Amino acid sequence: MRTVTLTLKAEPPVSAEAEQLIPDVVAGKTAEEVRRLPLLVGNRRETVGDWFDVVVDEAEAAAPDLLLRGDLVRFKRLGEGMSRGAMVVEGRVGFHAGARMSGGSLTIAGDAGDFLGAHMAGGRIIVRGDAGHYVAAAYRGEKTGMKGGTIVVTGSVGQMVGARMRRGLVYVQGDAGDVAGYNMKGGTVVVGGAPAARVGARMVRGTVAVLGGEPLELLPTFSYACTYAPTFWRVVHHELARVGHAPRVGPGVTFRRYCGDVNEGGRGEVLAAQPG
Amino acid sequence: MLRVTNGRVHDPGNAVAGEVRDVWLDGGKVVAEPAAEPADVATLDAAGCVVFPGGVELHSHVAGSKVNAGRIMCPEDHVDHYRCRTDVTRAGCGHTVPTTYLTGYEYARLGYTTLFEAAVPPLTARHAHEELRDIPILDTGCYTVMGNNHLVMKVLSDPDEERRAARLRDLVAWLLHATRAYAVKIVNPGGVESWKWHGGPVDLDTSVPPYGVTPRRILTGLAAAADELGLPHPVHVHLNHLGVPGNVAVTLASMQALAGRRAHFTHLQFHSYEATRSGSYASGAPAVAESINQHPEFTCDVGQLVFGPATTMTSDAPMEFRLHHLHKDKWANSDIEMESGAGVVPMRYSPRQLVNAVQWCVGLELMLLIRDPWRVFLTTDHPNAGPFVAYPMIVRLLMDREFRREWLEKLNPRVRRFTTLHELDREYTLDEIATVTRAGQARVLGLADKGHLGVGADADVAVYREQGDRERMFAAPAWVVKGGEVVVRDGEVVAAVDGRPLGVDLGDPPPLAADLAEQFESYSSVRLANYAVEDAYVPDQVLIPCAP
Amino acid sequence: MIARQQVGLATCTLGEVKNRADLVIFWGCNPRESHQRHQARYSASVKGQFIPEGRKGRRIVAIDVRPTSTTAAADQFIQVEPGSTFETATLLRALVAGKRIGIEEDAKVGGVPLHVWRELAEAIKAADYGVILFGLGVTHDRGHDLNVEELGALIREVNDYTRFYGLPMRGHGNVTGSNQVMGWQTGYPIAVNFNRGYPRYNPGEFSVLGLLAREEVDAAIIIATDPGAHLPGDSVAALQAIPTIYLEPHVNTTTGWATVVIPVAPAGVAAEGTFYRMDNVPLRVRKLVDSPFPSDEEVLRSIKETILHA
Ligand SMILES: [Zn+2]
Repeated sequence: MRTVTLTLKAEPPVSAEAEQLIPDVVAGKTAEEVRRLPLLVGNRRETVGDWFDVVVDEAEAAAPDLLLRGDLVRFKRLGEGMSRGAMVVEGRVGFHAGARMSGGSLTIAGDAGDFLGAHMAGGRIIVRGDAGHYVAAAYRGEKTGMKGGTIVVTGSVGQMVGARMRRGLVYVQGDAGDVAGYNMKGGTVVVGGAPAARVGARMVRGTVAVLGGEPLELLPTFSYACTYAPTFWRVVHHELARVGHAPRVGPGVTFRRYCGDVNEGGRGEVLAAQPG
Repeated sequence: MLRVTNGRVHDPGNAVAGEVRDVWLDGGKVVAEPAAEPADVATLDAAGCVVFPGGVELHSHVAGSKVNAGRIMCPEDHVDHYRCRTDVTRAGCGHTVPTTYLTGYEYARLGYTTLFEAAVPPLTARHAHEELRDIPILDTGCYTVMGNNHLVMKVLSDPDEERRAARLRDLVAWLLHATRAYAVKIVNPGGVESWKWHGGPVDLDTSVPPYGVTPRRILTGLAAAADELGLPHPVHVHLNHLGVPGNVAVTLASMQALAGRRAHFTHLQFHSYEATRSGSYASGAPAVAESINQHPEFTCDVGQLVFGPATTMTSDAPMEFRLHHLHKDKWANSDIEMESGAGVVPMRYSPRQLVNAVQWCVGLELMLLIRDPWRVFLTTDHPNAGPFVAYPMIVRLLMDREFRREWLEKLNPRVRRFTTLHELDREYTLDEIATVTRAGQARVLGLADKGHLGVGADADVAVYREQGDRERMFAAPAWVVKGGEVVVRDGEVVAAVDGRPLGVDLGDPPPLAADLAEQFESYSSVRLANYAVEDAYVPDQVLIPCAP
Repeated sequence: MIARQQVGLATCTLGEVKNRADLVIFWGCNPRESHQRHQARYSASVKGQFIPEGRKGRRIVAIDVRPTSTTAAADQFIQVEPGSTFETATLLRALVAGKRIGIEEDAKVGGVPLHVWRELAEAIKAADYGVILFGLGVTHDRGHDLNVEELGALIREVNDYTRFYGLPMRGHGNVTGSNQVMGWQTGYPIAVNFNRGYPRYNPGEFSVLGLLAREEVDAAIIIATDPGAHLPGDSVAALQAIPTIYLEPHVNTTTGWATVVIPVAPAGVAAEGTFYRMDNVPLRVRKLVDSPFPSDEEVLRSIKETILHA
């Protein structure tokens, strides 16, 4: 098992775009080859070696394929488009981390910027920290955001988590900002704490499950349907447990179910976990 | 001086059909072969190539308010289609609705050197001209939409036939001059105004509020005015009921109404549908092609469908609203006071969709069934039926029936029940391609210096390397010359010269009649004095003479 | 602009408002203060071709969070709670389409009883040609561009019943023109980034506030705006920390601290050009007086050429 370890030498003065720093690209490369990979810093084409110390070494089986160390908050597009392998960032990351990712696992020990996992199609992202706006969302003008995979954020997220997503699972252990699940076409967003206003606005299909309970600031286009213990939740709970983030709310909990958004056909649902 | 040598020249306007001969260019014009070899001559060795006049596009949507609305509304159209700046070109992006610079480069890269924006409402004409100026390389012009114009309809409501013809002629001249445009465009005559009144689709004899005129009167009135003014291009008509099954009836009736007048029918593919018993689409191309065949005074362009993404954009606002209801996707609309409307809806055409498959066949049927290549032109009504960058593929479809057959196999199989394309064996020749992509278009536009390579023609030349695969051949010209300068080499832009605006020479048209001026001042949101487009928007406009 | 990229916008020119609109809803705007001739020219007292009675021929509704001179002159004033634009637009969509809603008949939305919204929904459907003119009270309310997206969806759906349009009441000079030119030259109306040599677009990421907040720019050219007056304090501080080139005809809150100030001829006074009205109608602005200073265009052109030939 080889691990490529990149340690940030100094924070760049402006933002950098580092979409080539994914296991797909660095796998099999020597340290020198990795150093020569291009890195866009501001509007200049520089190299990975200009900003990172690069070490390639044999490591134990559990080690990631690609390990980044340092405060990478100025680095955008880390893990973008990755399709395999394991990538770990020990530090904060900028926008678009794991966007368009289709496989593998991306673990971020720190906060993530906006558009985390935007248009993601598969794989897994774990953020040990907070994430910004538009987690799992669609880019401007696009109809569909996340299409598959799993995202776990142990902290809180900004607005529009899961906006326009079609499939996949997003679990926010903390709170979510306004309009969680905006215009969802499918898939599941689980909010461990409390969502802010307008949860599920313009939902077409899919589920937003709120574990922090009520009251919810629902739109008038959502209607109470029933109180029940859905098997669906057992499946989600099991899946989250499998990736090591089992929600505190158990698999057998009952939810109040609200259906909406009636303006979009009313086939989406917002679930509010009931205490006890 | 520039010499294009050793190429097989296809210049149908001068009855040159693939002969190897030299083309000499100097001072922006085609010149006669000099008696003695000149001292400073650059040579393009076109051995193994065909030499065509520069391409002429007579119907495309590339500039102005609705085009820009399409760009702004659809960032997803641009994100994966971009070009970096180079030493000679500016950056750009967009697939179905490219930025202005990219539009110019992409047309030039296909060998086109002349381009017309097909629908400009007078109120936003300045905008169209601003964008046309930012389209590099090509000479450009635009058409003014008049088929729902209040002043036009008011004049046409006059029961006195002679007076209304005379007044309309003056008004058309005034509108063309005010908008610095090239031709009269009619879009869904009366239908857009009807929509503003919640009226349904209009037929040829529907009385349209508020002036009570019929589409028939609008069509025939404007066609007569264009004729009598001797405009270089006849009235350019987008008929009623675009895209509706069964619209072949109104199409044929409109042709009947215009018989004896010059008229150009645009994107006829969208207007050539029979209705099946269940109200679905079947080809009406044979009947429509026959009507064109029988009327030498008519020309048309096809509006060939291209599978994949498109962006529909027209002044036909009610049609766009109907399209929007197909997918409930985004829809932009703008009603334009006293003049027109506009709508934009993104689309995706699929070969498995029976309707789209029928539409695709109808376009090719028209191209193959209309016998005279001087009267049917290749367009995609860009970007309505698809982007113009698909032209090389369509050329191959026309020239290569095996390729057509392969494509037919990919379509929804039921399409054979509703179209006749699979029965058509005709293959276009290179001369016919040169006719439907430049020579014929230039002729119906009345551009005497375009679309041919005779002495005195503009020095616009496209040189393509002969290849069996006509799509590859026409996708990357060896050279494109514009105004005597090599602008494209091996499919890449090597110089981005400026094109020139094209207009018509109407002399000094009479001022707007007093009653119309009063109507305008009362109800327009701009002052009449601020309405006409200033010279600054069309610097050095080339004025083509009228022949009344 | 952003909302338009998700749902589009059904709109019309101001002359159509004048000639046809029999229902005008001023939502989160106060044109009697901000666009002083708007009502007299286009939207209230003016006599239109098909509204010959002028003010009497129009029903005017004002929706705002506080009374203003515009709300006072309206036929109906609906005073809403701040931060409720999205909810009310959502509710109106459902009411117009006759959808089942999840609240009781005696409930309030945006602080306004449901029956008021029901009546408004009926009035919207009954109009022959309705328009919503919306302003900062919509775009700067909680939800921002989503509010416009929701209004856009409402407007679009009302067109199943009648003609109904929305127009943003935009201020601040030629902002529409800037959007248009950016649109045709780069494909995007705002927030364009050229770091990669081609245009990319992402509001929030590439727009001024976000870029400054994250300190992602190391120099700035500022044209036709006064950031000292219009941007929040921390954005101004971020600009003050980097080199700035400022093109501006007048002394203002930015000229004092910009690194380089280039005085320019004021557009529409001493420099000609095209002005795009809020309804996208392009108008010629003329040069009325001579200025000793060059126009914005001349300055930018000479900066560009100097860099190119450096
Ligand atoms: Zn067209």
